Amino acid sequence: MIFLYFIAFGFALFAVGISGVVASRHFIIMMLAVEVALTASVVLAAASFTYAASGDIVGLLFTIWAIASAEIIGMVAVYRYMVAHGVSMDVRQLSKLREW
Amino acid sequence: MLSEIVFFISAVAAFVAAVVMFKAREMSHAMVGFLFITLSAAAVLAVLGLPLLALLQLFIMVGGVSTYLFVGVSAENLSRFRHTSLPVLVVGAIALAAIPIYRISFLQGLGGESNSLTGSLLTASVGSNMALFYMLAVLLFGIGIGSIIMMKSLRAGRRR
Repeated sequence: MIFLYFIAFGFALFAVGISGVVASRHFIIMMLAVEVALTASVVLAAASFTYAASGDIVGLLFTIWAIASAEIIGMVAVYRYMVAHGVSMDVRQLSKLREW
Repeated sequence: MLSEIVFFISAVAAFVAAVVMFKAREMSHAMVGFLFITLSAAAVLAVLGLPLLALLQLFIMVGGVSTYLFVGVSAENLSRFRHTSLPVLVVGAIALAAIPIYRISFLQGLGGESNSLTGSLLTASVGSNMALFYMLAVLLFGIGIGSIIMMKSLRAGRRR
């Protein structure tokens, strides 16, 4: 019963992240929403390993954190590039990147 | 009982921070919302009986990624940060950060920890001396963000 709290929290946070990706048009907010989904996956993985599996979870979580950190680094690089070239953060305008 | 209360407070804080992140007009506020989401996830991991993972979550996501985001993305409009809401943020951050500190400070040995929520053990835990390093990391993060905001405020005041 109590195990469901963590699973429900993880899935709800994951749903918030995915809905943010779907609903937002802002580039940065979309990437932050993906980060929220990755954070939810950390919680889900930790809860699942605690109850349903055995072994070392740290490797799996380091993989998730590495993906999240790499995504943030790429996001900031693209953001600075977009700001430098005056491109809108609206993802519908990203087709203008071809003109550079 | 305390674990349940802390868990629900952390969960509510995460969802409120998510709403703030999506609804914020300023990028700085969205970053603060994201920071609180990761802080709440760390608190949930601490409640789950995994203080080492909570510590790593704080080091990587709060200490590393959020600071990088602050500097890389939102540094341009930090000078327009509404300082009136700053005490609320400080109180909330201290309350959320106190949960993992409390969990780590009273650990004995290196074994996993069980509580009324989990009742199970996992071989991921830390010794009590890690609490000092954790508190130092939180302190350094606060100093870093505070100095960025202060420098931006000083520069904005000089422009006027």
